Amino acid sequence: MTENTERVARDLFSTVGRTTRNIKFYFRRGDNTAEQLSDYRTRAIAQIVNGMADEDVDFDRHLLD
Amino acid sequence: MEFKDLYSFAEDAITEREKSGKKTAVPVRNLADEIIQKTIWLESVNIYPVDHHKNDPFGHYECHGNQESHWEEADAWTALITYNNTLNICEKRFVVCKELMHVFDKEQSQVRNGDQYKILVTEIELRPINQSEQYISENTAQWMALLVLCPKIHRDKMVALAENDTISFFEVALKFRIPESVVQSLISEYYDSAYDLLIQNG
Repeated sequence: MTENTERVARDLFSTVGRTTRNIKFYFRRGDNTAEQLSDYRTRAIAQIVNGMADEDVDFDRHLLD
Repeated sequence: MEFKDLYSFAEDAITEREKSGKKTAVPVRNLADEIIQKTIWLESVNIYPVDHHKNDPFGHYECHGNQESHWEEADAWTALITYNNTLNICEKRFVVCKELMHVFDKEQSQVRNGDQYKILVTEIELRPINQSEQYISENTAQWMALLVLCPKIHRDKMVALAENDTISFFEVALKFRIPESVVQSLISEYYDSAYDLLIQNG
């Protein structure tokens, strides 16, 4: 088990005031390592927290047009 | 809300749109809104595109709640879904829908602590024979996404056309706005097994 995965596992469920109930991945079958998944999750959350990723509010609602 | 209720909502929505001659795909955003409306504990579903690195997974799901202390259960939860921003719209829809299906994870399928998280990511990497409920739920969620995006009465019509070579896999994918790569699963007998397991007997 590599360092980042250990850190994610430790931090994910221990933050007071904000709790995490479930975490899942749409992984690439046979291609993804535990480290890649944890790296992805860390980067994704950082992008959201730092305002570098904007919420896709309507997502695919344009299909109704 | 039970998964069967969402399936009925999707089936009705597609039928209604088909009757009025509109595109038949049901927006995943509408599915999310229906789940929020009918699920007491869920306050919102937030969907974010994120930058993609080589070999990244296609997306991920996690659920956050606000709580006063470690000792109180949160009463308002937010589902956070990310997807790889380089995917096409059909791929995005399938990834986000699959992740959305984790709202229906039973307690024993949820990752609730660091040890369970480590087990899940290790199983994804090593694919052991004996898999945890958390790992199995990844596969179940993909079938749930396929069912809800392509309900059986609409899927069966497409299967009949595909068997007569009247319609190509690409056209089936376009009709439901799903990735062409999942059409093989859609027309397979496993679809009927998934339907029996998750809808008929679910």
